[in-house]
Amino acid sequence: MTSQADGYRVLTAAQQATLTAIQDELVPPDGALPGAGESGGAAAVDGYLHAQPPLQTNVLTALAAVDASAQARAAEPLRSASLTSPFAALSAAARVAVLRAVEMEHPEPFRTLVELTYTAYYTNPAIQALLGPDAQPPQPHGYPPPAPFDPRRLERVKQRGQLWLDA
Amino acid sequence: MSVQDGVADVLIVGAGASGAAVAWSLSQAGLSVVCLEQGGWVDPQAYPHNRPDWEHHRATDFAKDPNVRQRPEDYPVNVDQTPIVPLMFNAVGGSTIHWSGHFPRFRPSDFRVHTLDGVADDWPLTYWDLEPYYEQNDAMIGVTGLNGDPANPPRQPRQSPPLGLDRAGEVYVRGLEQLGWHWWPSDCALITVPHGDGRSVCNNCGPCDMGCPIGAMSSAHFTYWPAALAQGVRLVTHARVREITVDADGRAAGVVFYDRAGNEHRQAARVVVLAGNGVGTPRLLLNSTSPRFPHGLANDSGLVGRNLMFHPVAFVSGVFPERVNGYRGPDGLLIHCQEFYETDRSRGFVRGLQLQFARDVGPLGTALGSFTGQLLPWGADHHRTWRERFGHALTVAVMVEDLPELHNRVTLDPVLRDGHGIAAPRVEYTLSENSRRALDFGVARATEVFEAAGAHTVFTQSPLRNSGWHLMGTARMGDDPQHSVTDRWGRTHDVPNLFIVDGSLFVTCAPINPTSTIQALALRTADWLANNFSEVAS
Repeated sequence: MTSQADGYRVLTAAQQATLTAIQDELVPPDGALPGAGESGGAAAVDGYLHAQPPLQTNVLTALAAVDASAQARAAEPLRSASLTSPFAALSAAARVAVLRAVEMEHPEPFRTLVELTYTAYYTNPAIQALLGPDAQPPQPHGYPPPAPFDPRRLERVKQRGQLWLDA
Repeated sequence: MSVQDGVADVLIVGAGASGAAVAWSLSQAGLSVVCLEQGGWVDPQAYPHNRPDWEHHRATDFAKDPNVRQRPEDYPVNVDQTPIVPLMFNAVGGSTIHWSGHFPRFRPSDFRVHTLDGVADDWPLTYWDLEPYYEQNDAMIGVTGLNGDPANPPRQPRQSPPLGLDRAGEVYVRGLEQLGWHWWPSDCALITVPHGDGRSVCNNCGPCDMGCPIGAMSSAHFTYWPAALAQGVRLVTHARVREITVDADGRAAGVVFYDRAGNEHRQAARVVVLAGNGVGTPRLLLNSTSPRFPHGLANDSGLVGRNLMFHPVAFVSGVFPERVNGYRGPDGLLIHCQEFYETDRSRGFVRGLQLQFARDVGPLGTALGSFTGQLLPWGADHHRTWRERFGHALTVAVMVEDLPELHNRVTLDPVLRDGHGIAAPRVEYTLSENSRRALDFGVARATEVFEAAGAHTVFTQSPLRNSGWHLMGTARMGDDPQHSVTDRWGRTHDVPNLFIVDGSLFVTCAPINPTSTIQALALRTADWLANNFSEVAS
């Protein structure tokens, strides 16, 4: 019997652990930017799956394939012990190898996983703040308008004369 | 079932671009007007622009594709047999809520395609017949543009001047000047100086296609509708029309519609005007069968639903080493190129295309591959690639003229139903060889521009599946009842008090955005109807 992770509506605790580990490989930490998993990406994806149930098939397929592939690599050195997620227990190099293999074998489910991870990451206000002011929502401030248009820029085009047919 | 009070002079189905214009014009002429709209009012303050997940909403519950959006007011469309998906929005304002506001006019040659090129048909009217209504429409809603374009006939000054060339515009002009091609600031249904009540001027925010939260876009709910309501038009929202009813003489008697709760109502009218779109209008006609019209209303020609035209579109994106800030500024208000607009048979196709120099997407859209869909790599290279793309990319839309073909059509799906149990439309469409060649030619020209402008990488998506913004030709006008559904005024040949005013009327479609022509046609029909109402209604 499995149950949802705390506060989650679709993913189990094991799936949440696997997804978080996957997301930190898909969008890893970079300088001040945290990875997609550590920034809460799994919870956001859980929300998408709840709001759009048709997405669940692809995501759950990808998660199962990742853990199955990780299980098959159990002989490889484990980064740490994990009782819930075989994938989370793998070394970094082994994780990437697993993800490349699943991407090849299950391209559509894996693409969905990547797209939702990117969606969670780049709509996260904390990430947007780290990416700078132009990564903020477009309103309410908009952007400063450019200088007025200078019609002299069109002199060459005007000199070509009438280009439309008087049909 | 309830029967709505009274018999309206005119009943309009649909409150989008054309329905709003007709409602305003006819009510100004003193006629009593009722408009039924299957959607509701959408509060501009509820648009996603202020939210950190605005790009997610753009792709889901605020998407342009009704099959993705799936709001109660949307109807499903079977798109299994088309490479291009119809896009629309169901609300007061219709698809002018979800648009870029490109507002070009057809050229005189666009109404004479058969005469010039021996394909398709000529329109039963000329550019000059329509010109005063183009002007009336511009003045009513507010359009931004610049006079003097040698690629189009002279016209009255626009209501707003264009925005200046920002970084994106300068990059494009660099390429176009090197190639020596035509370019001009685009006409856009948007204001950069005050125009109308309660509207703000554009603040350059960018994603016009999600609706404009400040009223700078000249969408129908900001322009025509406030004026029409002030003139007494009765607008009924969340009213989905099931069928148009006919009397014993075969004249339109009114409609049967459902409210949001599913209750059935009838509204009688002396004249019925259809203002859906190129999918919704034929769907309603085909759903309106009777002993006199067993194959659908006004369909004695068999052409209702046929000759569906999209504007097939290719997106070509270029990535530049310098920042071009493509996420800033309205898509519809930059520049365009009409160098390849008219037929040149040496290119391997007839008719032409327009290059629309557009901008780019936000942080999430960048990661998802921008307009051309090449997902950014995951893993160690992700952040570096994202930094190289965000704010460094621009996209050109290659828009080509589609030609009418009988087999491209809208029918009723035998299984699919909307939320009220009404048969949903099915779209059957094949991209023609002519349109395919035009797309290929346009992609090559757009690539030349990017290369001349200094892009280091170019991506292409052709044809773009989610590009069915423009739905045209499915109840076309003409002088011959055997080969058209309406006459030159939009009056159906078979039902003398039934009119059509949306893009279904188009005989051909030019290679440019249709809304200014749709609204001009609607105003022209309204003008004629007001002047001939006694004859039409009796």
